Amino acid sequence: MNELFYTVLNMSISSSIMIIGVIILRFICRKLPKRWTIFLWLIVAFRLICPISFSSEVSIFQYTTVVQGQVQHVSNSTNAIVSQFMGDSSVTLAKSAQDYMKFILANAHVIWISICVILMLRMIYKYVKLHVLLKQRVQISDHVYIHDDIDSPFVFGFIKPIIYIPTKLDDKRKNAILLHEQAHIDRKDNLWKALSYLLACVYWFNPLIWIGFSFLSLDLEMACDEKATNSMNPKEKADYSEALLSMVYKSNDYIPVMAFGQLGIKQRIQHLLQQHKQPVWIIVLIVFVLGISCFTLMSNPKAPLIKENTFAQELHDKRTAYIGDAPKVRAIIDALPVPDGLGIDGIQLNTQNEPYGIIIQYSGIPTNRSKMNETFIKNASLLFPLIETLDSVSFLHDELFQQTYTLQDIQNFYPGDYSNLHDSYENFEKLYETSMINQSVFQDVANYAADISMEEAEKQGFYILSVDGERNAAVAESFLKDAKAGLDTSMTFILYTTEGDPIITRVQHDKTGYRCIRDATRDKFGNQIFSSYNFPYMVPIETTEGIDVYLTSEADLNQERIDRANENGEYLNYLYLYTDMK
Amino acid sequence: MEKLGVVEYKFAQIIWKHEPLSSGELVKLAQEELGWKKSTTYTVLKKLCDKGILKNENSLVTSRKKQDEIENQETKAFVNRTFDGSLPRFIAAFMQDETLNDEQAEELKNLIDCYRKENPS
Repeated sequence: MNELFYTVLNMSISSSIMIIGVIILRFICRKLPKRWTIFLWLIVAFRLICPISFSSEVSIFQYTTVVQGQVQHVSNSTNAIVSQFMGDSSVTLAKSAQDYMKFILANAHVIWISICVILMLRMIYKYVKLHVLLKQRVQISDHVYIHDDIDSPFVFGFIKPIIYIPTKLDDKRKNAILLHEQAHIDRKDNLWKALSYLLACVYWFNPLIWIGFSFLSLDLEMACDEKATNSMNPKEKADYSEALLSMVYKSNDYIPVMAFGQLGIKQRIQHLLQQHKQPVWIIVLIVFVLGISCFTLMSNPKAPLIKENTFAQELHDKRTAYIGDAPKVRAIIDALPVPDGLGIDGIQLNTQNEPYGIIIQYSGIPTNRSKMNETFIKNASLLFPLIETLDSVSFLHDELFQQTYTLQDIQNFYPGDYSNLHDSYENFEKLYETSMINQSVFQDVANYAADISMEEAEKQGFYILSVDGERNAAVAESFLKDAKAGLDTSMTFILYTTEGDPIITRVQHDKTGYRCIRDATRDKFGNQIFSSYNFPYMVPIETTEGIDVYLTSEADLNQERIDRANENGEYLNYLYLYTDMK
Repeated sequence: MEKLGVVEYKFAQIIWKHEPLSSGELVKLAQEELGWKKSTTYTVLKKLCDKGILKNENSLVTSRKKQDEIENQETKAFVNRTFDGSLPRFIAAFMQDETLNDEQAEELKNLIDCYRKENPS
């Protein structure tokens, strides 16, 4: 529903421009027959209903997509702007204002849909009420009835439209009335009015939609007048105009009525009597202008050719050698994409001692978690080359996630030449492009349900390790057997932490070795990152309980080295797979 | 003199012609002559009873005022068109939806007269 509201909001903005455009065009073409110019409103309706239209380069909306983008990301930008202005540590000052804004934005769609529904229900209620009241009628011809309690004639009903005439109307004007109302029926105006009103209900928050609706109603009346007087001579036209005038103006000759429903009598009479035969070339010119306007107003802007390379170039231009250069670091971070649904609350820089790190604090609710993880990994991978002394990047959210990536993690993800990324744009661009296309990495693991239960995991044939022991050991054994035999094989292995969070690792073996993707994003008390590893070797190490099986890039891995690395805090490239119990 | 709208008058005429009659018979006659459903008939019957023109006792309908005591009247209109009536006030004013004032009406009258003169048939 939130997304629907934002779609509506965006469409409202582009439609507003259209409505203004049509109002201007309508004014320019005011002397032309309304039954032609009224189709301009059809284009507005089209734009209000269909978000998709065809693309062209002459679209008027080239200039509005910027505005639309701003509306979409207003909550994200506000946070970024505030933190930018307030400096490193003063994000808290504006937090309550931000919270208030966030609350409004999060609930705006509720307000929108409520009022929309209320307006529609009100219309239905009034229609039904009118329908019942109108029953007290007397028929005077095929689909014409008289009624005591109405003040002006109108057409009612969609399937079988009926003309209702006030009983006090004299015969003098009845003729004109019947012609006019019959024209409404022939043009199906009731239907168009109802549909337009429905659209106005959806876009109720935009005053332009109501203004457009009023103009449309007026244009419908005028087109109707045209049709009714089509085959009339001037005298009959004058009589018709007088009948119209008498419906709204009270004087001694006429019955006083408050004709609320009689729109713009002045404009209608003027339009009717002031239409001249236009020279052909003016008509052709105006039709031409109308055609062009339709085209520009209807089409979407061609997506601006965002050359991926320009973005990479811009990023690379912002690079800095010092993590302590706060404004530059902030500029880089602001240029990077933010996952949908999140906003940056603040940025902290740890520049006093190693490891030098950046911490980006987020709030909000991500709309798509696996896309969010992708974005974080991509951003991290770009931050390391852009900020030369950077050691680690953390993405934090008070309730939802904490992820910390080091350069090693990134190098595991995107193996390649990491030398000279800072200075050389060429190498940086290569890394950028690799990060853009290398998406499949995340699909494998992200496809699992958020919290896969042990029972479900066991059923699906995953190898499971938890405080209670192991399950599906046969799966691990057959994987290793096939791998030893040089076959292509794979397995999924889930480690459940003491709190019951699953850490999911998918291991694939082919002739190049073992490739693992480890998804620790569900580990509430750990570093919730994706990690990627490539190991050429599988090494079994004997222990008192059995044989521990490791995947590693160190062919000579043994227990001593592992213990030593743990003590010294050294980095050793291995992944513990499972234990073959004796 | 009591006053009735044209539709109410037509309905009362049925009673004047056929009274006394049961409400069931009245419904049948109203259906035949006016095309009304039962609910409509009862609504209008009650309205006219409240006005003191008809009487409905134990489903027997008679009139309290006779035909020569009634004349047609302009009733107060309260029903107006659905959609235009839903326009917010300021929009309606923007569209010059209200009745014309004397000046505007005079202007238009002149416009029509000029048009007649310029286009003699």
